[in-house]
Amino acid sequence: MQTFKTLIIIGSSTGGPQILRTIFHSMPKLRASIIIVQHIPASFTHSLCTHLQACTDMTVSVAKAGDTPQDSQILVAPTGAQCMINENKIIDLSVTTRVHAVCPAVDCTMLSIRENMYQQIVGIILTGMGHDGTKGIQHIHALKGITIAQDPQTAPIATMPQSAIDTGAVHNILKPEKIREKLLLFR
Amino acid sequence: MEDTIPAGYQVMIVDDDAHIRIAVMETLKDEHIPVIAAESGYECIHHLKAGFRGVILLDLMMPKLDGWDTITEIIKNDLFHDIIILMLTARLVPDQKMISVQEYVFDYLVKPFEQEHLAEKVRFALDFLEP
Repeated sequence: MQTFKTLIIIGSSTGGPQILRTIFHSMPKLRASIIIVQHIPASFTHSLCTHLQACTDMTVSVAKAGDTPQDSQILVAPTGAQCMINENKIIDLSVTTRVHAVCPAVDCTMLSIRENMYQQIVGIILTGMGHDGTKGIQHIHALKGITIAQDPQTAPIATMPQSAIDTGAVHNILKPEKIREKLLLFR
Repeated sequence: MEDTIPAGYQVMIVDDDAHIRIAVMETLKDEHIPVIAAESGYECIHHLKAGFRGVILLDLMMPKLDGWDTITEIIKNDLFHDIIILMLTARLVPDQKMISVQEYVFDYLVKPFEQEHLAEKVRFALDFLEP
């Protein structure tokens, strides 16, 4: 597998698994590595991977410490650790403190990205309660990445995408089907 | 349709409003989804201690023990095993109490709900439980 050049980070919470299924429905292999940070009990992380794997040709697995994300790969952040990427593009799960009362929090993943690590960075905030992803999306925007929020009207809980939108740092506010179309541009 | 539901799993509607309990039970029975009812968070905990496994449709606003407090009790009593919680509520925007338990809330359904929409959400959640 080729080392990836595009990184897509998706933050999702309550109602997220069904939205993710819509986004990844029949998703072909993309020239990108995707990290999904879903707030979910630990016992369902593998179930989420199984469901996503049934949707897409990309390889789906739970992120492990020391993994180097690859093209056409989806890594799901495990519950109980903050999923960060160090400067060697290696997954770091050493921090286990809660942020926004959750672990993993997508803010931690997004804020761990440093400038010039990738050709393209995409940050996406889906349904959920609270403000996880708000600082992260501003950071991705500052790094000249692409920022997307789920249209709050299509979110079971709108506050997470709305909070990201309210920063003024979101380029695209899209329904899940349109987020899928946006990701297909990385084929 | 019943054979598509993982063995041993069922649905529990937890709501202090008898009309909602009856409406949900009829909707799910029409869909051949096995369902039981509880009229309070305490009764929900009782069913869990008795071995309930499956999807819990949990009302948010209930007297004494509300939906969020019920989730806290489930976690405190180490009963969060083989269950998925869907909140069933009249509130479009949940209150701040959700923040501390949000990772335990799989989905959030606003009342009044359409029969088809409820059944779809429940089936999707049941599908997440290991057979």
